[in-house]
Amino acid sequence: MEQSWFMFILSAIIVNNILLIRFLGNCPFLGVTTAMDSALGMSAACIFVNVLSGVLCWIFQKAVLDTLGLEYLQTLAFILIIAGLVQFVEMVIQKVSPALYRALGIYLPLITTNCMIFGVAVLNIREDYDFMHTLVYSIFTAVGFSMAMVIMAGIRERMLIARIPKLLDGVPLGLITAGMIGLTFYGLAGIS
Amino acid sequence: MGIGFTISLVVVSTIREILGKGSWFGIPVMPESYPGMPYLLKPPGAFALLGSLLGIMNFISLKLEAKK
Repeated sequence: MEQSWFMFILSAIIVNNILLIRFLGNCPFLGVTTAMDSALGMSAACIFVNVLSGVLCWIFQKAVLDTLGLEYLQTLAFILIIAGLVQFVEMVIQKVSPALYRALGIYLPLITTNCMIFGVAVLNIREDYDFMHTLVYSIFTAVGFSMAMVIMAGIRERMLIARIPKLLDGVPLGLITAGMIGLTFYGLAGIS
Repeated sequence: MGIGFTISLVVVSTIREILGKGSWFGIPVMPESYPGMPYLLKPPGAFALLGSLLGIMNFISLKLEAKK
């Protein structure tokens, strides 16, 4: 990797922001950003699961799939790992910290079907990252996801007290806002 | 549901292709001098367009309700 770590991290968070540039994991982006605390809860759960699943999928790919020549099972294996991991995380959090479990609520099992988690696991393999790059990429992609979620939640909380034309209220304005935020992030595309 | 999904995909892609690239199904339909709108071809453009289409649909349904 000739890219420096700083540029690598900057690229994962902002320049190739997983939500606003690659457009993965948009269901929570539009679904749970109506309030700041649910957006923060979703972001925290996503960071946790994304890092674990990215690293575990990478290890599984290198240790099992590559050595046995079973690369064509990648999709199935990764989905199983992610689903099992989310189930496991859910059980652990329920036992260890019931308060956090209640705060995350439905968003915890919903992470199983988040495109970002699977997308990052596959991108790690496709870009041929080594272990450290996989770890850093998983962490900072999830940080970029959280940043976009917080920006969106902030804007939508402000929208609650704004006067909005009735025909744009709710989802339409949310979609247009997402488009505008995405446009601002495209302005940074030349950095890397 | 599947048909509705297809229709909305076709509508969005038609608008994006004609306004963004100046062609439809790969056939140029706009005059040569049309510069195109690269923003519409990128993912954020699709978001803004989808939001605007939803707004237009809401506008029509509000008008229809007002008539009743």
